[in-house]
Amino acid sequence: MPLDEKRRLATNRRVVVAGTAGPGAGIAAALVAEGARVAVLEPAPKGHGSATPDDGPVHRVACDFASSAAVGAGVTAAVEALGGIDQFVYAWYPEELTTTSTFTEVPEEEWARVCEGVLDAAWWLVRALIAPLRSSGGGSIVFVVPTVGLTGASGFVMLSVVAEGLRVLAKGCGRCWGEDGVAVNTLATSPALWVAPEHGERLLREISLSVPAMGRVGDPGRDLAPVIELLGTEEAHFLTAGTLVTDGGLWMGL
Amino acid sequence: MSAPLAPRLLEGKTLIVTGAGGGVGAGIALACATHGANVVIAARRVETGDEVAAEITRRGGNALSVRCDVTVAADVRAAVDAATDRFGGLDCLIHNAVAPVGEPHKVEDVPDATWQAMMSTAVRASYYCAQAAFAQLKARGGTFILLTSAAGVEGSPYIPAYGVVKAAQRGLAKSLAREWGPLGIRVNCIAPVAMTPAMAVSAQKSPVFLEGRLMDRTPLRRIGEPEPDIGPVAVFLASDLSRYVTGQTIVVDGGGFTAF
Repeated sequence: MPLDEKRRLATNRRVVVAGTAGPGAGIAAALVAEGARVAVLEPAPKGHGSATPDDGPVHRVACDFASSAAVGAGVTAAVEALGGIDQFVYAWYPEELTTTSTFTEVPEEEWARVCEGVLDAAWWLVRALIAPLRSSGGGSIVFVVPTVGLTGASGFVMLSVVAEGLRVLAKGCGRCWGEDGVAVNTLATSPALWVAPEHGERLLREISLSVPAMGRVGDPGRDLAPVIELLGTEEAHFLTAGTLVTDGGLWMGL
Repeated sequence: MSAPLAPRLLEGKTLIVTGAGGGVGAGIALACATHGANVVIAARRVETGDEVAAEITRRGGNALSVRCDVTVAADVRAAVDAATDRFGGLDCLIHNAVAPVGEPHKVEDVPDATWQAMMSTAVRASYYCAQAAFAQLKARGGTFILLTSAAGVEGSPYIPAYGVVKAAQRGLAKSLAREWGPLGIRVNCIAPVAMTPAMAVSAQKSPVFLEGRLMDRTPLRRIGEPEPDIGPVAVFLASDLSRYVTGQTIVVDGGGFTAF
């Protein structure tokens, strides 16, 4: 099949993106611009999991990430709105994760609700996604994470716990679902994309003695979305359980 | 007590080992005691901890057995208090306890109870251990050690929930190492493969996997033993020999996992 044809098919993909703030929003917008039909799972307590149908190419689905049943309802609503699913992109990090905090001052309630809550939500999401992805004949799951799970980051212990947990969740899912034609990968991105600028500068100094090889930390739409798009194409079908460090050449520890 | 080959590297130091009533935790406790450490055996079933403490005492070492469910914050704090009351402080906390991994399952088939048990014993309990030990570790320039797994690096098709929580612990260790390093506290992980009671049960259920796949990828062609194979690495990380090592995971599996 000619490459152009493959790309045309790719840009008609049905994509569900979890996360509306920060890089998730930029990724969703870029995928829409490329012609993908996109549903966005928006974190909303007590979200009812129904899609808004009249919002242009993006269907917004309120989803309560705090319960297994609600996550399942959200995924179902998003998939129904798109008529199926070809790719899922995870990019949800609550504000508490991307705000600096001293570990010893993190209350147990916050640790449970945010740190463990996000891992719970991701676990429920992938479990809800596998059936519709199988129904689509396979597909792609991409976890977009900051590299702090690989490098560690003072002041961002919870983010690091979540990022590394998600990265290995991707590997476990990739191992389990490869024979179903479902590829699961991680996009490891610059932490500067996720945190406030004053903390981003500090984190970059903590991670590397040098500046990114590309001279910038990256833009979700321009730099991340094309890689996500590639991971949803037939050309990338043999790539699974991988970690693609897409940070412009900052961290090179792999 | 058998004489260690090296000097007593932990003389005068006090450690807590969670999940020390058997398996890797017991092996680490015994190895550390052999090197002169005062060891607090923290076990959910206190009778198993008592047995390990008795063995340490029989060998001429110092041990204290405390009942500790690591999913209960008060139990973890009480273990730290017991260590400081009995031995005057705390130099190292080794969090080893984890819920049984259960039967092999694909991600979509893992029982909810298994996931929750993994999260509570690995992720929540690591929070409890780090919070409870922080002041003592800071006061004595101590070290915090988490037992993780190669499954927490490369994922697992058989026990995927275990892989996730073990990865989360590695993330915790790396960031805590950065946060606590300036305070003089080191944080590291050990990723062992060892013949434990749980693995023995698995071996009976699935001998093909253990004797075939796992052994095939292990260059040293044997499954590790908790005390002689895993214990010395814990001794190293708890001792001053590793004073410039932090944020690391040492894989102790006979060479099976070689990705670093």
